Amino acid sequence: MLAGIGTIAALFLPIVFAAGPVLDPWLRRRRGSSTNNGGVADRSFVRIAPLDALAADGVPRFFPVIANKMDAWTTLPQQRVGAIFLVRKDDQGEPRVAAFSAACPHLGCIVDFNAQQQQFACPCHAAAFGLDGARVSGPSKRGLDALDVELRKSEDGTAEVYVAYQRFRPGLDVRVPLG
Amino acid sequence: MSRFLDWVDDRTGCRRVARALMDESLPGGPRWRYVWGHALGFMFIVQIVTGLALWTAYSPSRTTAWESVYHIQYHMLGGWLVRGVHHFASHVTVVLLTIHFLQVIVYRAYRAPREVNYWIGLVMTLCVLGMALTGYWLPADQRALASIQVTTGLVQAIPWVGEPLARVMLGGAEFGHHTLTRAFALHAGALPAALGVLLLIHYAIFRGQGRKTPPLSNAMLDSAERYWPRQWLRNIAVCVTAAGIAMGLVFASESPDGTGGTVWGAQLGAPADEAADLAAERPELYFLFFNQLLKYLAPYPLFVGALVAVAVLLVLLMMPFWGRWRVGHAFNVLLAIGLIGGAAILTALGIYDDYHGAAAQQFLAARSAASERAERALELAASPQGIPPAGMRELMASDPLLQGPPLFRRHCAACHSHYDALAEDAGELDQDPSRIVAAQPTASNLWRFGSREWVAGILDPERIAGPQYFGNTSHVEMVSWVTVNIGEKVAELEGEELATFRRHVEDVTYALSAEAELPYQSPENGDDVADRIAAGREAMVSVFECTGCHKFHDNGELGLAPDLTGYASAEWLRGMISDPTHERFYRDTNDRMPAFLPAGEEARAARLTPHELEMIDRWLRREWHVPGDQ
Repeated sequence: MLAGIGTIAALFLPIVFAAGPVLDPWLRRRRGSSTNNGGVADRSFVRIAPLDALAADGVPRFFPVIANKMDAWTTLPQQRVGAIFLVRKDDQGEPRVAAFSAACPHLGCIVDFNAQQQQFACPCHAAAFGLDGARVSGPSKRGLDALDVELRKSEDGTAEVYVAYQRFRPGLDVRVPLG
Repeated sequence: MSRFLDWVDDRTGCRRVARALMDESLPGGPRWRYVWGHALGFMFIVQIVTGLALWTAYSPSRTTAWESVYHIQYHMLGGWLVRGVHHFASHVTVVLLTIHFLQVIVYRAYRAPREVNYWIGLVMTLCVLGMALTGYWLPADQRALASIQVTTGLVQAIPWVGEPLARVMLGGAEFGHHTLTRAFALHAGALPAALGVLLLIHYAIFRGQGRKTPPLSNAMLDSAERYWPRQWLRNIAVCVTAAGIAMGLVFASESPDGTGGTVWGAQLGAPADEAADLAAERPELYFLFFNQLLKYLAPYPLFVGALVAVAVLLVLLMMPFWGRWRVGHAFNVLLAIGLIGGAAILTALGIYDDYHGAAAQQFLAARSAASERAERALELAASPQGIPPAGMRELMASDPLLQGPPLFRRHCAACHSHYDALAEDAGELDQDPSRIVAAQPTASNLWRFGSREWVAGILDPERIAGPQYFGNTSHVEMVSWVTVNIGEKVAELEGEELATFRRHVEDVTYALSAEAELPYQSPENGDDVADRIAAGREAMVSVFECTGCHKFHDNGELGLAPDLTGYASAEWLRGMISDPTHERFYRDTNDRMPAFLPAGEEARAARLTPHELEMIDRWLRREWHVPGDQ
């Protein structure tokens, strides 16, 4: 009996040790320190642009999301990890900025803003979304993914737009964070 | 010799083993259908040998995987042959596996007491499929990326364990170094080790149980024969044929090598790039049926596809239980044939869909774009610059020919076209892959911008007023200047005077286009036209008085119209695209062109990065590597 348990324990010992590096991508993610996180740590805010660069005219403007990208032992400095649209429409002088991920929630193509139709349009499968990001037509099962926005003061006192950039799994009607 | 063998035998007993293998009694004599298991064993050996050879040169990481496979395929002695055999032997193995499986079912070899060995066989099949799948991930080309994304998507769709499993498989949130190191550990480590152990057990059980289930008929026992040599010969014949077919397939597939020649063997697509189109990529032929099945299952949640695969596997595992009864066995035979036939039909439908289906046009276009990209990757890798330490990703990202067109489409093509309008108006179809036509051109066509031909157009009263130049812009002053000072002048003058005037205009095209220092026009700007360039410069000041509005070297002043000094040169273009409202360019007379990389405060809202701007700049100037150039 003891010999049997001992044998099994002896066999499992190396497996337990080996599990560390093999399961690292999953275990480390739970501690929030993945070395391959698709560019942005979960829900961390990324600086996008100064508030002044954004006219308060309600017109969506395209911004790339630039961040250091980690891939295991390689750091790729200042990579384009995604793209967003910012819409600024102030409320009685109080700045209000909304952000949408430019990745189409259908299959992840990058949508364009069509100024004539006042719609976001995906060039891949003709999904269309309204100014508020809501689904208008096409194959997407949900609207554009809205992202959290924060206005922060920079060192010289000017306001800057920060966005919690996140990617969501395409093709679903609900938002499931990716990565 | 025999004394040496005696010595070895004394200490190992190898003769007894060899004799046991060769003296096996075959009731009913040798059969061709006994060869399939051995042929599979032989293919495993072929894969180990060629795989180890490839291992000596392969390096799994995002900066070295494609690069090392490229080196194997195009530079190492016989690399293409070893890689090709390794690749096509996997196809042969899948075919042999199918035959072996059918044979086991049809000849009832899965029933008691062989069910355990049958299950081991199924697990081995999974190992082989796992190796096949991870195997074509290793080159890290576009097809690998497409397959990794589809596979990850399927795995993620599994409830509960899907997400962590996908992360462990990818080695993170997305395709990266660790995806490749992990795939390699599976492909060349865990899976073949498991397969090897299972193969030994499979064979040992098989030998222990014998080929036939007793009782054997007397006739079969009477015609029993030793394994050696007649069955052995059949095995050898089939093994050699299988390896021969794999090698034949290597020579049957030819692809360009990026230096104008061709190479035999397995294909290598363009290096994996998440930003590039994956619509052209399809899995290996033997996975195509599953791909097609997923297409039909597209309306349902993704895990239905995974569920179908698991369900089929479970049914296969359970086959021995009802296979005892005659009806159950008949069902199993029909099911096996149905599954294989179904897979074959799905494969055929998949191919038909791609080449003749509703979306065939898009697929073929994507296919040709993908092979152009792959060929370009090979050209760049073979260029004198070679592959930099950061790998092909860097080389591809800094190639104007690859980066220019998508950037131009995204940022410029709403207003500017880029195609040979003169040739197309004359009825010649432009074959240039970088042909871009704006739907509603509201600015000049930038095809060979700044070249002698382009300058000739802007000095032509008809063409400058047309849509290829300033016809749809607000630059009416230049249009009216050309109309009055060139158009009306030509109409007015006659004979000798007209010829002199025309020569002056032509001189200006020489002089102004020389400012651009376009590399593709440098042979035409040699010493023999130096005097014409000089004459043109002179004419711009004294005859046409361009410098009344434009600055041109030491004459004229900035402020009214764009600077013609270094017109359309790399530096001029960079400045113009960065900020057309700069005093060197259009100031407040700028039409609708945005500042793509403004200086100072506005720089943070730039539309282009300096690198992207350089790519557009160099692409417009057609400064890219051409194979054969030094």
